[in-house]
Amino acid sequence: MSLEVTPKVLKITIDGVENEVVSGSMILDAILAQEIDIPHLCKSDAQGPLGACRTCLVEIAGSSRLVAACHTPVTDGMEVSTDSERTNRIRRGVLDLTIGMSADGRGQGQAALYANSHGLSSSTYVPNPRSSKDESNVFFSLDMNDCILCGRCVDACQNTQHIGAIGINGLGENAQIGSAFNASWRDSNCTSCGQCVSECPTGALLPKTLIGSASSHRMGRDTDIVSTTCPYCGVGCGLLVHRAEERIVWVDGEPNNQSSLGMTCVKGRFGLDFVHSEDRLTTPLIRRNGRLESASWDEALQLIAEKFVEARGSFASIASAKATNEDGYIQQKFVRAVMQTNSIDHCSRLCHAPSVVALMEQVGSGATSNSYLDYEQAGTLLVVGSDTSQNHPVIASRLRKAVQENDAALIVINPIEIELCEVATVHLQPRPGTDVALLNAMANVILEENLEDQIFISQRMEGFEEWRETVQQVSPEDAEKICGVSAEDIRRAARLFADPPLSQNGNPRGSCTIWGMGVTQHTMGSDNARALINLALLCGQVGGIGNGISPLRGQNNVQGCSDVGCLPNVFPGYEAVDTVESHDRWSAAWNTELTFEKGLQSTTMIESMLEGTIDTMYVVGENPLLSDPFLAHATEAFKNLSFLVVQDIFMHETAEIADVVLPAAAFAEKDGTFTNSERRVQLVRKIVNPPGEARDDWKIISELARRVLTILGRPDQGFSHESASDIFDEMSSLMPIIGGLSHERLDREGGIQWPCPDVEHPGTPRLFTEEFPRGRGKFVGVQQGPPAAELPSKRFPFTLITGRTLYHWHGGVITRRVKGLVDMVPVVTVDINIDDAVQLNLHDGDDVQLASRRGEIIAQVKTGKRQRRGELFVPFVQLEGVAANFLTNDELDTLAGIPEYKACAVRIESPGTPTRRGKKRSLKNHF
Amino acid sequence: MPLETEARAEIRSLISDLEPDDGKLLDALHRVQHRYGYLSNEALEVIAEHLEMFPSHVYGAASFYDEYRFTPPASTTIRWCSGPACRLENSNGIRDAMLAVLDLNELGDRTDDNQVEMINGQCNGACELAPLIWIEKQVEHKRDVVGKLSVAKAIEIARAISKSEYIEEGHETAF
Repeated sequence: MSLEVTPKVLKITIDGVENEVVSGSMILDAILAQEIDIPHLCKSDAQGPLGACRTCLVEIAGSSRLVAACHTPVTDGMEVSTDSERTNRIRRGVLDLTIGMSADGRGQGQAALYANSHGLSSSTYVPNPRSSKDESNVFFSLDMNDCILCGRCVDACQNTQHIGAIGINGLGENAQIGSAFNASWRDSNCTSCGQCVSECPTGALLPKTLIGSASSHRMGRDTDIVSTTCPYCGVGCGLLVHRAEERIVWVDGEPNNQSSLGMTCVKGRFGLDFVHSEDRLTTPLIRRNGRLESASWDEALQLIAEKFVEARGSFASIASAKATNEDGYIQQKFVRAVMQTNSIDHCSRLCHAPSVVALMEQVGSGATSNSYLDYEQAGTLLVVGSDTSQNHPVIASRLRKAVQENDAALIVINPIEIELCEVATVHLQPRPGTDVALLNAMANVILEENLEDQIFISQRMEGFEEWRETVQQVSPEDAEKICGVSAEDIRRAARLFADPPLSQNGNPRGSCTIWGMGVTQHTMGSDNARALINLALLCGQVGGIGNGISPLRGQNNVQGCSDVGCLPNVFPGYEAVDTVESHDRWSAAWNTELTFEKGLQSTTMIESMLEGTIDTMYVVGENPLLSDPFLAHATEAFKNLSFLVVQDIFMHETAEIADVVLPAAAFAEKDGTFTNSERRVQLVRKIVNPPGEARDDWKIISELARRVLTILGRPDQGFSHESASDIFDEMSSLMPIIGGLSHERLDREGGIQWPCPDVEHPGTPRLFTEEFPRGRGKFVGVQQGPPAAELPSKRFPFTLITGRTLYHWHGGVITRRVKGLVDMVPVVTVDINIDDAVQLNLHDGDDVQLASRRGEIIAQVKTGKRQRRGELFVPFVQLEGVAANFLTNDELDTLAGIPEYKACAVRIESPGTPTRRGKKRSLKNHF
Repeated sequence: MPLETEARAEIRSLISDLEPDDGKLLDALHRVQHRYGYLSNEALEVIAEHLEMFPSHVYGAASFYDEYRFTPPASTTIRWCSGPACRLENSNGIRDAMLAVLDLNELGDRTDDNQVEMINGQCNGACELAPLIWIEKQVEHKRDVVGKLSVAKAIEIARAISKSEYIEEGHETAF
């Protein structure tokens, strides 16, 4: 730890009032702290001073000229005047010139407000408008008529988000905001994150897609602002949601949020209006005569309760990683304590289950060890199987910042040339499914060159010698043959990882290991994760500043959903269901006798449904009939159920075949908490009322629990919480990892990272600093097997890789309801190597049919060189009825139960080619 | 990485000795424009990559300066000095006369056959030669400074250029 230097305190007198500020503060900081409002059009809360607009001029005693307060540092004893006749007169002159830049000479937004407060209703100069407009972006427009060229948008794009899509082009009266080569914004590398719109002080940049009078909510600040947490990915960005007349009208990033630092991506900023969609479920629906018909809550819940009572023993449930911790906790409590089974699971089965298997085995905890801040402090970032810019855009911005501002080395391992490759030091592009060989070869190089951390290994690790033998068999040259990555690149990456570049002032730095679904969604997903964790442990890159192991979480609350026990093998807080101690503890806590038997994993539930051992399912906030692999098979299983209840915010593929559908409240309509990828527990606050009769998930489940218990003649205790905060109090009293947290504390202090055992504890930015939960860390030898369960063949010559796209969320149930996002990506596309395309005579925009042994889809061709020949990429979002998971293979990783989404064999044919799948695949039981 | 085309490799070799640093940007832009006569999008991308800057930043900086060009120049470029000393010596008349002979509407235009263009130039301080123009030949990489012009002389030069009969008579230098 670096020594804390006590900041020097300086005295400053502003308009006669003496104040103290820390050394390094600018005069404007002191003025604003004293709640004096002076113009500061080009100064963003989130960024350092630009000094461009000159509207914050103030007078300093003893100095003849006025200075810009935003970039003049405070000196001790300084006397500042903000409101003298001279400062007001000169500032007025600057504002006069500023509003003279706009077409009507009156100015817009804050420029107009400050001009008015300085007695100017319109400019005394003849307006000289620059009339260019750019309407090409789907989400916002630029009107240079209103621009004062302060440069905040450019600064936000280049230095906050590190995208660099825009700059100031031209000079003088022709200067304008634009992208490289004067391309339209739509054709630039703009990711539509809207950070520029958020910064614009005049409204030259205005949102198009969110409703309401733009100028009123952006400039007049007459909206209510609610601070909440983004409902999309696992980054957990803080959002300041502007509300007017029961609608979300605008979203700013929360600058004080330590996970997102004021940033959001396009979905967080422009993708929240799905909550107002006409398609929302508003009443319970019961299937009568084959059709889903509206019903009352009483009718629906009573029906379900009666059915569930009968179904005990053949019941399973899927929880939602999109719902709150409180919802998940109540749901697993209902399943365990009332339905008396541990068969509850959620979508982490389909994303990071292999990471958790490997992490539990090797270190004893499945969570990310570090904070996002560590990425910015690291010397080397190893990003494996994660297209971070598409999946976790704000983390991608922080990675770019690490490279561009802090000179970190970036190693990308991905069969696809992802956007981050633009700033990567090395891109290793292995053939799909050959990661184990590649990672073992990197370990081999590190051992060969004695770059391992011997002290860490001897003090904190076990199993080194046995493991060493497995990696010594894999030379970089061997790996080159298997992976198609040059031995020299493997060596270079290994050296960078084991021996990260020093910081700019010469201090040693660590290496962060970051991974996503490219590691886990394979039949050897657990082995991939082990090989990666071995590498981090070999170099001692865990538990310190600027290092750590990070499985990037997909859903907003997949971390929390696991934490609160929506897993078939553990109670809340990762206590095993089959040990006497935790069994007794939780039985006592919930005042019932729980079962010792582990429950079913979501992927094995499918097989049990087909066998008939599970005949009743309760699915909350999930759409397995889009997200599961080999969809035809999964659909058959769900149709085999005798009773299916789906609880969600929209009608979707699974809900359509349900017996009862219950309307739930969305994230914006309830209170609760989400836990993000860096274990930060953050508040979700209610912004608007739920539509129609929709209710909070936990309220629905609690009421259901009470009804089931009544029928069973058991007391209904344990399901009568007054609020989400009440539930959280129960959770924190029973779960030591969040023992020190409460809604009230999170409200006061902002998000806190678990473990946080008591109210005095500040939270834990880094795990494993001294020791691992299992004691010593463990090396686990793994060997490269076949790259995939299904390899390309003569009939199916291409390898299909699936993944996510920035503009859609997973299966698309939510983002299909956001017009702008659909405009950006309206149909399912297939990326194909240009050389393959030439050979097959395919062009951009052509429709092709992709066929695997399990199904066919139509997709639109996108040619390029992002992946090697013989490989295709299709995002797994469902658009216009087309979804990649009709093709994917349901072969599972035997330990983690994750399906192989990342590789299956397909062929390309012309649309409408009849099905020729060959012999019917046997449905084998995997366990 | 996209495959390195020959053009990209050549551009890269022009600037390969410059350290990644935005302070080297103008130098890099000069070298590339000097070699090709203009800055192509491809060249700006290579410069951005080499200097580790955003392409938008590179383009923004380049577009600030009048002298950097983003389209290939004509075979012959007449650069008309817009400085005050030349203006005092009737450079406006010279400009209008030459535009008329070349059948061009305004500065920045070029002849349909792409052979001749006339553009705005900035004063470089050679005011003892006012009024002056620079005649630049892209292929030969030569620049002729023609000073102390009269309207009649300018018309004569413009006619010679339009018939490709112009013979250097000023102070010719390589550029």
